[in-house]
Amino acid sequence: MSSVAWQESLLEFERTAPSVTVEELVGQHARTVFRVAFSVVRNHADAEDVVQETFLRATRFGKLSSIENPRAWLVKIAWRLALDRKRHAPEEPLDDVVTTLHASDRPIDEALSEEQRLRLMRQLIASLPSDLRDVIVLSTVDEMSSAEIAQVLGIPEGSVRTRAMRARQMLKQKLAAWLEKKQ
Amino acid sequence: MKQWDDKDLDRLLDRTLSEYTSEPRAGLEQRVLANLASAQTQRRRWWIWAAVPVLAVVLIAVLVWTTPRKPIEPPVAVNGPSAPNVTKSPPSQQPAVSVAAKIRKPMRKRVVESQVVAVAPKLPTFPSQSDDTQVRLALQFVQNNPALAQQVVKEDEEFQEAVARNVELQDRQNGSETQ
Repeated sequence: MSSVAWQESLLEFERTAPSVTVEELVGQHARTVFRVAFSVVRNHADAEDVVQETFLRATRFGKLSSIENPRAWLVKIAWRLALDRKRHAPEEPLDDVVTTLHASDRPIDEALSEEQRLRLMRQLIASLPSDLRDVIVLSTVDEMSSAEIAQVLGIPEGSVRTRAMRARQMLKQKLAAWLEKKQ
Repeated sequence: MKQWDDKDLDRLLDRTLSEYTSEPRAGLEQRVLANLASAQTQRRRWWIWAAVPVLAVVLIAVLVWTTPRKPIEPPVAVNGPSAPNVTKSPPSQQPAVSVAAKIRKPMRKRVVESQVVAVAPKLPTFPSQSDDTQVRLALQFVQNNPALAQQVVKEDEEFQEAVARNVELQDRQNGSETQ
């Protein structure tokens, strides 16, 4: 496509694209953006700060109507901001998790409390390689499809599925190894 | 402690990953919109503060430009003896001067001209002094010494008559010689 034709198609797109207001963007995507931010920073206050900063940057961009996929675009901004903000928290102690597991004969998912499970999972996910970690973290956000995750991470959609499977496999192995070590 | 099988681990993963996300506190959208509105107001204020010095400079420039200035009277060339003759040496005799000196030269010349104007102001009547000096001096002389003036006029008339007679006499002599 020649540059003139390309410019004309861009202009045509801008003319025909539905105008999106900031209020609409916030109303439709604020919660998704929050969940993505929370999946990284694991903290309500920090996640909300990321949401505020995300929409602030989006409004500074100006041409909101020219964004093809506003949700993926906002999630991408939030994802980067959250990664920047994320601080390397010290490793949380899991002694009580081990004690609980030793004392219970129930299945592991029933034996542990929600807080214990999450603490254990955070440590396991943190120990994953970054390419697998990013995919598994984004896939925990319900609304995110494989295509959107691929768009945010800048990888092919097929790679998202492969990495998600590998990440899950590795998490299982790590969990098994951890449980064996603690026995 | 119980031996955990593959199914247990799968269930744990499913359950934990489904709980991994969290819901925001109520009113997230309103808080975001309020923050955006306040940020926009701050940005507008920033523009106002940034525009103040620019406007001040523009205002000063306009004031300076529009304020009526005292007109500078161009130097008047004076006809008469009081205007000094500025003799210019030919360009070949002038010493080589720098560009800056060349630029400054007209300024010096202008100063000299303005001094000339100050020394010999323009006369209120026309013709100027240079044109009627002889006549005025003669009139002044007649006014102050009328008797002497009459005598001078009489002697001048006698002198003119004598000259005329002499010329006539010479013409007659020339005529007789030719005949």
